[in-house]
Order: sequence, then structure tokens, then C-alpha cells
Amino acid sequence: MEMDNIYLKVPAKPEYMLVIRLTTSAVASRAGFGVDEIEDIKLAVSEAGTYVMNHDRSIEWLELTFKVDKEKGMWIDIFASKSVHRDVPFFDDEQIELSFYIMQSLMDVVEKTMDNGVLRGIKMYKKYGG
Amino acid sequence: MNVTHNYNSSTNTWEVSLSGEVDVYSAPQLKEVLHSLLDQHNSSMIIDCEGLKYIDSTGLGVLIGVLKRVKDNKGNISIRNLKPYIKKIFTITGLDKIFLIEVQE
Repeated sequence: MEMDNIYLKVPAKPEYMLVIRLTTSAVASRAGFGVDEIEDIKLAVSEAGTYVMNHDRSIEWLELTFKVDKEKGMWIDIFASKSVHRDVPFFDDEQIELSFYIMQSLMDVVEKTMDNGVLRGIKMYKKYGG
Repeated sequence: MNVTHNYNSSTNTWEVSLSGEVDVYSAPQLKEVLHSLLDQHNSSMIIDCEGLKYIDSTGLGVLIGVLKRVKDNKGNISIRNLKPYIKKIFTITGLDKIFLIEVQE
């Protein structure tokens, strides 16, 4: 199985979500996804970053790993620099659930990554033609 | 993100043009602008999204909050000129049944 890995580490601040989206679009395009799929992946990854940040304002970094399987699809891990402890969310619970629902609708797999029962990040997968 | 607005006094409607990208960074600004419009006239709103390139759940949350306030005053929000990939987000979240989505012929 041929696999390319791409890594991105950005400050966990709202102003860097644009950097995450631009990078995600470029990686998804290079991986061979179509225009509509790229839009799906871009929104889902951006939602994941926002979802993690919205739970804890003291997170320092967001680390993203894109794993491109050129025959099947792409895995994306979005990790916080530390476990997420619920602080004061930027937005309300209703919206946070809307965010997760959007991710699930756009991707083939979306999983919360837990660390001793506490959210640490989100892992998602998009298959080609999915 | 850029927001321009005009109050049409003959139809008692806010005409808003929303362009650029609305995300967790710019959504607070959008919230402030739209609520300040309602502070002036709590009336129906038409939002032209021809120049809108991206909106996420934080932006949708702002629009939902504004819609609640407008509906409390018997008004509504029409959204027009959505790009297909943005209309898809309104569809999968069911928001196409809450907002008036105008489709171009």
C-alpha cells in the first residue's frame, strides 16, 4: 500500500482556520479528489478544528496529519496539543452538535479520539468517490 | 468576509450582501453586524450570497440566531444565490426548510 503522509501544526486560534482550509484543499487536490469531494473534506476538517477549539480555549496547537492512500482514500487526524477540558465554549452546545453532524454527513468515517475519557482530537476518512 | 447592507423602506426589508468566507474567525463580526441591523429595524431580511465562498457551522449558527429574532417579530430571512456546494450544507443540516432559499431559474 503506497501512502504519503503530510503534517501541519498551527496555533489553535480562529485566524489559522484559513491556513488549515487552504492546506486541506491543496492536499486533497494532490491526492486526486474531485472538486465536490475537496469542498466536503475542506469543510469537515475545518469543522473538526473548530470543534476541538470550541471545547477548550487553552489549547496551544492543532496538529493535523493527512495520510493519503492513493488507491483508497485519505485519513485525516486533527489533534489538540493537549487533552481537551471543557472550558468556556465559543458557541453553544446546539451549534457544537451541528458541527459534528456536518462532519459525519460529509465524510465516510468520523471518530472522536479520546484520552482517558477526555476528547483529544478527531479522526476522519474520505474514500475516493465517497 | 464582507457585509454590505441597505434598508428598503418600501418593502420594510433589510437587503444584505454577504461575501468571502464565514468561519469561527469572522462569524463574531457577522453576528455583530446583523444584530445591529435588527436593533435599527427588526424586519425581514434578504441575504444575497453570490460572493459567499465558504460558511461553516459557526456562520450558520449566527444566521439561526438572527432568524430566531426576526421570526419573533413575524419576519423571515430569504437567502439567494447560494453556490451549489454551500446550498448542500443548508440541505444536509435541514436549514433549507427553515430559511427561505431562493433558487435561480
